[in-house]
Amino acid sequence: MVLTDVFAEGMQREGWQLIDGARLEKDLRLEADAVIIGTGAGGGVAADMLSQAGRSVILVEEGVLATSKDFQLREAESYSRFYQEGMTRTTQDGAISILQGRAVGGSTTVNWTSSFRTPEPTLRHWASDGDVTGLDIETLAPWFERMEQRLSIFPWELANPNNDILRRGCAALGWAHGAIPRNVKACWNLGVCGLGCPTNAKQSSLVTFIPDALRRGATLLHRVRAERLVFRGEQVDALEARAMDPTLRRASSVRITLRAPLYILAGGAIGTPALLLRSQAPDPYQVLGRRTFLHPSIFGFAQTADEVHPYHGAPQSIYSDHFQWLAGVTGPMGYKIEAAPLLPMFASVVMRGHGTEHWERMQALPHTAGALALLRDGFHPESSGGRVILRSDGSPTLDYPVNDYLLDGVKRAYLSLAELYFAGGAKAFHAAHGDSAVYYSWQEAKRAIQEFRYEKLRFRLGSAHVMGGCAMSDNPKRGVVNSQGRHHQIANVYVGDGSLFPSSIGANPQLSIFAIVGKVMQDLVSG
Amino acid sequence: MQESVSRRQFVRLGASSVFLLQAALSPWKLWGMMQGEERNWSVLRTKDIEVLRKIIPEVVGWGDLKADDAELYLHMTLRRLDQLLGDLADASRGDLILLLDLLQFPVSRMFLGLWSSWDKARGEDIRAFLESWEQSWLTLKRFGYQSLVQLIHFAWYGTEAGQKRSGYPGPSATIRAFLSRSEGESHGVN
Repeated sequence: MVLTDVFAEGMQREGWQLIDGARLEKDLRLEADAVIIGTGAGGGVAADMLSQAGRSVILVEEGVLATSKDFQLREAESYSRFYQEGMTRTTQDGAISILQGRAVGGSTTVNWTSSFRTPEPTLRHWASDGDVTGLDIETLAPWFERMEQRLSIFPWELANPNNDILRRGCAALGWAHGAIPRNVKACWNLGVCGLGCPTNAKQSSLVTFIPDALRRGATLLHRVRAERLVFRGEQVDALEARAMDPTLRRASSVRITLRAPLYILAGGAIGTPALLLRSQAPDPYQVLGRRTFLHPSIFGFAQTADEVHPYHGAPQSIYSDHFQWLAGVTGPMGYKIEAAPLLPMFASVVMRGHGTEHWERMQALPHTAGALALLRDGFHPESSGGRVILRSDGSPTLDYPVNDYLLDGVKRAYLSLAELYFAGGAKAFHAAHGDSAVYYSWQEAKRAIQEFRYEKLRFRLGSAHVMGGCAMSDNPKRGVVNSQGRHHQIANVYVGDGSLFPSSIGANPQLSIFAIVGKVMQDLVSG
Repeated sequence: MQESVSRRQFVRLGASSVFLLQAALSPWKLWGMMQGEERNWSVLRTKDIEVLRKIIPEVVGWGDLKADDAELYLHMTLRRLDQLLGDLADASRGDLILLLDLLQFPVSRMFLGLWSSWDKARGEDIRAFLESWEQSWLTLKRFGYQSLVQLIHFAWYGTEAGQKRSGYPGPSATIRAFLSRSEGESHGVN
């Protein structure tokens, strides 16, 4: 059996146009019908649809082009090469770790494949509270279907022990739960999705939309950083970019200028607002980069009698939305419960703590199950998210205050994880909180969790879902772009990524990005 | 906005210490140059390594090991840490370097909770010091704790020895043959 490498074959047989910035020696100028900045879920769909409509397209990606053969499944190497800031990105105050991909395919190259449709309450909230039009569940249904078909999205029924304990717990407690749909084809069930898929089973942008666009003649520039948009009048005239050095740690002196009548911004919900901020784009109502959401996530762990091997098997296959809408869409913060796969480096950091206690917990890794709760931010007046700001060197960071509204959700989510694990048969539970000991019964855990000190930097908060910052709204005072994704003040700029969302999604966002950007691009090419 | 105040305090403490630091650290620098060590590290300085050699075993908590193993593990962790620091955003790396500076300068080191000098500090002193950071009411100290501890764990558990010691058997057997076969091959796209 031979594992094919999509890019190696495409380059050889079809002459794909790939330009590696790190190998450029001279400045470069290119023109096309459209420049797409970013190659993740949004950039991939945009390239596919625009090239399908016969437009010539240039894709710009800061990260490396790594394909199946490059995914050697070593944690340290993957995190360093394929994640923003080597997986050490945090919010400005260090309180929330942010996992974002940085590679061709963006986060779709390294995510855990969970693919949910945008929940209906979220879409209704955007319409009623955010002046978003034309994104109701009926309009989007064909887009979800189309993406599910294209990306081979089906509920994954083969739960590994790390997920099965959640299923057992939910069943015992009567909590609503289900199988997670995943975008995989002939998946080997290895569990290393976060390190890049070595078998091309994961239907990421990297192996689907981007190769399709390349077959139609698109040009992909990788290891190239988009620096700023240059304006002429009220339109963007060019994108100025810089080649990266081979380590991706800094830009080289090689300059790249890209010109097109149309620019699609798809650099993710930190990168896209940052590009507009660096470009001093018009922002008359001070909405750019504001209301950036994270699904701040907390972690809990079970110790089990049988081996769990929390690093093997599909990372996420069981979810519970029991607490997601329980107190209403705009009530106390809701959350979604899912498994957290535990490769050693990742586990060591999410578990928090130090010394002998941490060592012993790590020694027990084969007998440890991990879970997380994704907190749904952006629906309540006290949940206004964070703000993307620029450091003096032009690099972006996110100022995201951790407030009492969020902390109340954190406490309830810890209680839920503990209750769930004991109901699922756990021997013991501990939370990724500095005040947590190991607890041997639900009653003991419950008492202790209520007494934890709920302040930032006392517990692990993480995010793998950055959303918002260039929100859609037909009201220019509320959003950076209109409901069709077009910038309110710049006619030839569209946003095509998760920055579009007026709140968090309330589910892992990749399918929302694929589908909503698909619709935005359809409106663009047919309008 | 509490945190940005803390961060400013952090930076101010750093700035006010710079002059004294430079004076205090120059002998170390000289010593480092004499050892010829500085050329081998991309971010860490010899004086950082002295401090980290004391902190790492207490953060990882590997306890009593054979002296050779302990030395090997320390070395591997420091090497990974040095690489990791290169991945950090410039601003985050700057914060870390500042933190390491503050840990070395006696006044700021005492402010941060370690009373004995690094060469005299015993394991229990360092454990108490880490504990006091973790439990502190100052977000500044908790920020320092979280940043440093996270990087050290990332470094150690990123090494092959660290991965093995956690009981992780590596990727499933079904994929291993493909990995070893394709290892080192490149199709020239990156």
